[in-house]
Amino acid sequence: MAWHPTTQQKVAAGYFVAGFCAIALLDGVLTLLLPKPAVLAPQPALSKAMTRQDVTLEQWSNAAERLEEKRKLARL
Amino acid sequence: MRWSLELIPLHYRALAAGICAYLLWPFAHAPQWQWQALWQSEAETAAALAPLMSFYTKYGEPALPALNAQLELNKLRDLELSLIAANADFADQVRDDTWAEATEFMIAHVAQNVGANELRIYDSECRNNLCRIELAAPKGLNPEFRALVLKYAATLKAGDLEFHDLKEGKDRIMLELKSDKRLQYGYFEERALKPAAREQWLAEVKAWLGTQQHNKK
Repeated sequence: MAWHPTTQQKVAAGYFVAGFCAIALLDGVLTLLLPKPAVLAPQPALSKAMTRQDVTLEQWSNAAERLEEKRKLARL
Repeated sequence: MRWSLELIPLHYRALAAGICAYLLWPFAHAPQWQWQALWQSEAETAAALAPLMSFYTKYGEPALPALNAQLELNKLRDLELSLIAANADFADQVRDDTWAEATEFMIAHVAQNVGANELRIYDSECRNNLCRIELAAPKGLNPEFRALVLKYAATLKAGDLEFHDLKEGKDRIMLELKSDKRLQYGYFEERALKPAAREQWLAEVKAWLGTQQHNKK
């Protein structure tokens, strides 16, 4: 016999989705409200790419430096 | 009455589960660098971003996929460095059976051949890249015995075991040797160090470097 959720289970599933969405919304608002360094303002593409990575500013700069080093080595 | 999870109404439990599900989602949080901007001054963040900005100004948007890939590769390197640090001591290491057995055999064999069987090994144990050898030293670390140990260590060095530490005991010395072999990690650590996307990241960096060389011509 096919399984059918009870009303209580449907309500619980609704609360699960509501909890997920509420905290996602809060997080989205927080991401918008948190300050961004002023130097990033004229670079929207870079700023957008940076938002996808949960790392520090130093880690971003280290990656740029390492890539520049690799480029110098590739030129040799 | 004993407390149990059942005492919390089902809808509150479901709500908390929904919140936890979101928070455990790895892409769900505002990035660290944005939080960093909250407690750092504008001058500090500008200084931290200087190498990135100079790179981006120079190469522009086409460099972003390679930059992103390099960042991922750096994260893998950082993870490996933290694992190396966590395995720095003999006591913290698990045994890499294949290497350990072969090396213990070599240690015993070399001890027999150095100084015409004058070295007596009480115990030897290898783990991941460190080996501990307990040598009998009934007269302590006198000049003759020291010369013999140095000769033994030099012979082992030829077999890729560098001297790491020496501790003197009552009637024995404990010699610790280190190999420069790659550490062997558990299943989950190895999986984290070699994700499926790693090859793609390497290819993206390589492709960008190739483009740069092409542009130069």
